[in-house]
Amino acid sequence: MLEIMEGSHAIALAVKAARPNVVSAYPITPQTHIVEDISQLIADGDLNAQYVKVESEHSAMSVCIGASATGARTYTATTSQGLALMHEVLFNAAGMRLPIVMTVANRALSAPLSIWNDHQDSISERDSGWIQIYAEDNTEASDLTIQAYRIAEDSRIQVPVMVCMDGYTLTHTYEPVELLEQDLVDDFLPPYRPTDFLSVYDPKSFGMFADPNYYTEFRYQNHRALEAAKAVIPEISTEFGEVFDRDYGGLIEEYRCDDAEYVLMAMGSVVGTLKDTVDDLRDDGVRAGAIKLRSYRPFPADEVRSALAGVEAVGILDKNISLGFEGALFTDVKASLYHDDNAPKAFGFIAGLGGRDIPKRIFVKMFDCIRDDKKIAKSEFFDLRTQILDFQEV
Amino acid sequence: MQAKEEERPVDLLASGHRACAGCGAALTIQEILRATGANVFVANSTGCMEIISSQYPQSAWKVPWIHSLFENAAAVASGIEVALKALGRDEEGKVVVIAGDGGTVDIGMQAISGMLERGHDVCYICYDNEAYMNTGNQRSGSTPFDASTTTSPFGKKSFGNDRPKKNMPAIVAAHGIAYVATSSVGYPRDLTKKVQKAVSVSGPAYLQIHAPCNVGWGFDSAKTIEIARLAVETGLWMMYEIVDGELVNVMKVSRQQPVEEYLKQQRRFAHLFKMPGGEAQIKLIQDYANHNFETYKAASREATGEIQT
Amino acid sequence: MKEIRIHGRGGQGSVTAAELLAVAAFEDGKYSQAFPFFGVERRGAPVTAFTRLSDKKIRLRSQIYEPDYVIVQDATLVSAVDVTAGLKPDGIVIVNSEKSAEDVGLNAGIDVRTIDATGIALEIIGRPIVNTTLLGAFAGATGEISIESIKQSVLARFPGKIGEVNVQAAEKAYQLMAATERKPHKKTRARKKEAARESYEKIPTAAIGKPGTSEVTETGDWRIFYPEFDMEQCTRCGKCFENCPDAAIIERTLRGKEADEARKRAEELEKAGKIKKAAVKKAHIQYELDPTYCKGCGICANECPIQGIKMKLEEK
Repeated sequence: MLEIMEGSHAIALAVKAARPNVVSAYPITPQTHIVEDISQLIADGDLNAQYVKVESEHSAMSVCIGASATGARTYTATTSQGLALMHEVLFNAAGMRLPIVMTVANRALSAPLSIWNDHQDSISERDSGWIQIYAEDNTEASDLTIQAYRIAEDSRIQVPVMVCMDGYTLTHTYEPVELLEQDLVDDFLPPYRPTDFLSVYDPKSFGMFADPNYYTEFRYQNHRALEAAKAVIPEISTEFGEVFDRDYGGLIEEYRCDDAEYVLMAMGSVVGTLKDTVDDLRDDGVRAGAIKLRSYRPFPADEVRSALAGVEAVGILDKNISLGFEGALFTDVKASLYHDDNAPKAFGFIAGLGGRDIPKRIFVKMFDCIRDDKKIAKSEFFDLRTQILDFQEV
Repeated sequence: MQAKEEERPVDLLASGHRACAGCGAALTIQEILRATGANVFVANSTGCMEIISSQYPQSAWKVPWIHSLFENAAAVASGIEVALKALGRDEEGKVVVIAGDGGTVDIGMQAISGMLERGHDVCYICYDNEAYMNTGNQRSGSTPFDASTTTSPFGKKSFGNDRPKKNMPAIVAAHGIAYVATSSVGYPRDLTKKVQKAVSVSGPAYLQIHAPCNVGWGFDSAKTIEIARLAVETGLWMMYEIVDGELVNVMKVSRQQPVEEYLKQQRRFAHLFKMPGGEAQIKLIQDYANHNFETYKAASREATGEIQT
Repeated sequence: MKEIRIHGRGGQGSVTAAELLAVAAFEDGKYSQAFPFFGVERRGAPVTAFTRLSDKKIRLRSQIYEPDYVIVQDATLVSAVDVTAGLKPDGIVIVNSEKSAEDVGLNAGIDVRTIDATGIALEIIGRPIVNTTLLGAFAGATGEISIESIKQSVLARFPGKIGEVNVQAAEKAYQLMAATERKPHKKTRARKKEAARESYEKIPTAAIGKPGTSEVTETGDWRIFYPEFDMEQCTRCGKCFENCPDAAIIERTLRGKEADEARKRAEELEKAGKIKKAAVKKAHIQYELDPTYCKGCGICANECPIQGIKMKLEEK
């Protein structure tokens, strides 16, 4: 059933449907509406959960660790500086294999301070051991929240999951959202029943340290769990589709790629604009296509490679940059294509940083770029206001 | 539901842990767990006690135990406490934090403040060995005045640590919690009694236990208890309780010892007896001890505590 | 290049010994390298340190697996650690022990030299710090480093009186060892490799452990001194038991016949005026040392109100 509401409210309702035992969060723009709405749901008795109003994001994640290790289903949400403050705790949660679910309302990192959207915050936590899935719209973000618990709690996975949704662009946008029926959610997502949890009746020790004889093997197992998620994410997506009649496919979504010569790839809400651009170009007779990368970690190298088979050229949009090199996604896509003799030409575009809007004309320009095989600026920055730069080339 | 009495192991910190011989902190943990019994959940911050007890696959803990990071034990404990409530398991046991002084008075300060202010039913216990011993004796906010550590060494222009010890119990008490106390590994009866009180409080409680480290402080491993007692007898470690905001039960010392008796037995203060100007420094420490006795006595409603050994 | 592996216990100065060797070799005009096995070990736990000496710049950064020389700072390590693992066929093992080379429990085919470094250190330095003594022994036994450079490196590290006595101890060990002769390695039947020491128990998903599993670590072998209990004088105050950081004192309640006998004995002692009446009532309580875990810290002896516990040097 469709209902119009703000993105953040949709997430709060999805969280409610997932029946977490413990919620712990610290307010930060643009995540605030999510946690405010959850607080209200608890205050109204609509969600029966312990809400810990912590003094920092570091503690928000730490509370989730303690609660999850005790056997509770846990939820938190953050963004930007808050996610960065969580950094060490993220690695810890993943290494302890605790199935925490977190919404990241993607936002740029300071300095200069910016409260607006890009993907630098979650991309910077790429190696934390969390699964990262990016949503295109608010229904997908809401549905992903439910799926995230199934993925995280799956005995084959046991890895925490970040559901990434663009700050403001999704969190603060009103649009119709498909509601999650509680009875269907309850069938789809049974209560969390871990095999290992803190208990005085079977007093286990969590978070031991591993010497060089063991550390590598624990890391290997953790890595293999993320790799296993490449099969489990689509599997759960399909199952979700059977129950709710909304299947987002798996790790990537191909849009009009079947006979495409030129493809652009992106993550998050901007994919919607990209799809519209592809339609426009198709109308003009250009064989354009789009790939939406849903799962950034694990990275679906095989799926990307096969989606790009036969494509002339691919452009990759990064709303982040690894300063001193290039966009993170661009690097990964090129790495995926390395062993492919017929790999398409690849172009990296950095755009949409710190809330700069990406309208259709920018995508058209990107398509123009890859169609003309144009070498773009060395820095790969797209839509750069070169007029205001005061920078001396060395 | 309670674990059956006869099933309870006596020593809840098992032998085979890798603490140094004569470790005051390990003994503190033994005594804490003897006092609490098996029905506790321990959240342990990074530090000596974590490292000596949890090298995979060997754990010395016979109670449910979790270590996450250095500064977040209070938050992890908060998480355990709310989870037990949410899962209807709050009768299963008490949540106890065990953390060193660095993890408490320095890097863990913010998380502790949050935990106290939110009123979690958690008993926070700091074993205070007065420096970062896990990493080899670097100065912490709990290092006493003039102690020479590896990052506050004495030298031509230094008498060691140039700041007094942070008064963490007062900071904790300012949160308005029901029970704050100090104790010492040198006084097992007192320690046991206070641990039992602290865990029986509903809501947050805080205990700071003086736990000499023979390796870091530089004294013979046999003298851990003796040194702990001297700290109290000289007035350099005060034993008291703050119950509902009121200072009570300041431990009486029948015969106050001069601080030299305490200082001269430890390598970390040895320079004070050799360096020019050291005497004046010792005098300052003596003044501090005298001041301790006077202020705590004056502030205490009833100084009825007695030394119980 | 020559490679030296030093086995010691935390607190015995193994790492310092490795560093001093490297400094001495440098003084001799060689390239050298010293490093510990980076660990979290506390006082008393087995530790390893490494030194390399070479005429050329040393680039190798791995640990030492096939040492030319092994120094064992504590003879109790022989049973706890495979000290000769990977030893080169003509390698030398120097063991701190008052026993003869044949009696320290190493393979008869190996060139083992023993030296009572603890005895020398106690006599000259006044404390059982054996690392500098063993450096002298190393110079004497191997000739790889001059004793002059050893002395120089020791004095540079420990100036003043302390350095001087350490140098004397090193010199004495050097003389003793220089008098020993190279023992040709005998080909003995290859020792059956101990069935892999490490277990292959599967690891769980995360590093989650089972309660009390530290008990497999027998910390008793860290001990230099052990407490001896005089139960006849014991008042059963329980301070030794309650103040043991390692739970290595066992409180045992005697029952039946045993208890009766203990009470009888106590009554006799009370009559003889040796113990107080209160102690008779608790005669059935016994305190025993658990040698498996006692690290020999001495707290029990220090806290015993009647000095009924004496610390005795462990026979090694």
